Amino acid sequence: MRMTKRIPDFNYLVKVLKREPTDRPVMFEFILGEEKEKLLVGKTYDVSTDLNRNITRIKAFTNAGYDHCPILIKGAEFPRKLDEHENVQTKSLNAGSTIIDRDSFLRYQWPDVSNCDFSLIAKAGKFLEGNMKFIPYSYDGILENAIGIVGYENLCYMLYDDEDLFADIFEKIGSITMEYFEKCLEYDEVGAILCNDDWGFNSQTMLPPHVLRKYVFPWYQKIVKSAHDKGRLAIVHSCGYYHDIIDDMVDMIQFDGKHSFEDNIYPVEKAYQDLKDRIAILGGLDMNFLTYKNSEEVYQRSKKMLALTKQGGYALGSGNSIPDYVPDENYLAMLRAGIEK
Amino acid sequence: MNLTEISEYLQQGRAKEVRALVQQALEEQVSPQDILNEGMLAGMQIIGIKFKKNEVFVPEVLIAARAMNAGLEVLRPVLINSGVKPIGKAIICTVAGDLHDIGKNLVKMMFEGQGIECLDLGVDVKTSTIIEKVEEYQPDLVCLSALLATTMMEQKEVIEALIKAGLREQVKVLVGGAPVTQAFAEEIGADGYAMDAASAAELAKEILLK
Repeated sequence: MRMTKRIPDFNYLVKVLKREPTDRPVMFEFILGEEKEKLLVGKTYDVSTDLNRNITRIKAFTNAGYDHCPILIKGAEFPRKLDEHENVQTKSLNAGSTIIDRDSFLRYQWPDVSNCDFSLIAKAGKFLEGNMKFIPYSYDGILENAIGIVGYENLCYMLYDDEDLFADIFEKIGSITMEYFEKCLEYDEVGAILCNDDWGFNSQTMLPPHVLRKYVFPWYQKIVKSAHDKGRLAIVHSCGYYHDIIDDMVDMIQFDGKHSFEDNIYPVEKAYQDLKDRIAILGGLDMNFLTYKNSEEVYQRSKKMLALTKQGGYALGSGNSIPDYVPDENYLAMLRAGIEK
Repeated sequence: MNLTEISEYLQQGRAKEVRALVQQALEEQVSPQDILNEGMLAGMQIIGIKFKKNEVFVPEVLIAARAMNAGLEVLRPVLINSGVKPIGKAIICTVAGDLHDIGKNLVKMMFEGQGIECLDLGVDVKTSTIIEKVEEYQPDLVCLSALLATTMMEQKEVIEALIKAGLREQVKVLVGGAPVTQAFAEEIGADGYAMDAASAAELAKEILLK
């Protein structure tokens, strides 16, 4: 299903990220569920190889009307304990306990970025339509990977019980993540990077802000600087409460755009009003809203959001992603709002 | 002995010191109820207040709770012998299909910090198991956590199952989790909703002391 004849042009997203007005609405999404991709590409859906997986995603994002396509290069995943639960839709942040002490830290099989086949960016890039560009993201962010391999509560205790080990874990994950993004940035097909790392829950940050400032944010500052030095832009996808760290995101790390908003914490309309002069706002239509309201309500809120953000610095999209439980008609209603002039 | 010292060490998460001070207080014939209320629960309540104001964060809550448990290891046998009872009993779990446990664990810690006894059923708990445990444990409160827009509908199922089993009038149901709102809680017929763990514990205490 091709929603629009619009030819993708990444310059539109660049304008959004630079908070300039655009002559048509711009949309942004990070992850589309498998069924949503099938809806958009029909019978051409093919994920049999990494290349085909990315060609399918390019088609899905093109058919939906986006100017970008996210890309993940495999091979830099941080090994974790497998979850034994079946038929569940979530994972526990306490599940990881692969590193529990200095010995397990030393034994841990750290990913080697040289195992990643970054040439996939060029190979898949041949299938980009118009001036569409890739936005690479990593397999979870620096804090998420620390939580994934240590376990959230274990990590919290480690901060007090063995801060040297805590620091070494972040040093290791940060350096690997930085190397990953630097490799991605070598390719002309890359227009921006997306740093995906959930830093908060409903009412506060996962770790105290001063701890994030010491162990997590300096890495993102380096990663974003590297992107900017190469003429690319940088987006943060971070869920949860962010008020105590927004200055860090904007002024210290210097992200160009922020993705992920929840009505329960702070509706995107308010976030835009507060932040429109400092950072571009991407997406933001709350997941509960997208899931439980009807398509007309989704359409109307999307249109209102676009009207509110006419001065620029906004791309329409979900508060987080488009999982398969979001009704097709609601997702399509949001796209319809973003495609109409 | 000055019981404020126990409270202060507890807030700093200094488990060894809390354990030693509780032992010392018992040796000095301080009432176990006072050690609990004026020392440990007072400390956890301050942590709860600071948590709500974002003056302390989850790591500080965890180490404070760990210090409280260290003190309770010494104090619990004496409390039982003295016939000191909790202010109420709660069953707490994450609903079926959902493995998230951070919020649930925090709520449990905050509840215990208010003197509420908790039976933690864990994560991904089937509605039928919750009903069985309500019959068996006879709690005052049933607390249900969910993280996703989809799994929060399980909270509604539990409430319906409690009605069907004739248990709804015996318990108050509190719901929470990232996607849950006050409006949703009211819509599914829950008795309460809280935005964070400390607020949940305050609400639970308020309900129990009514």
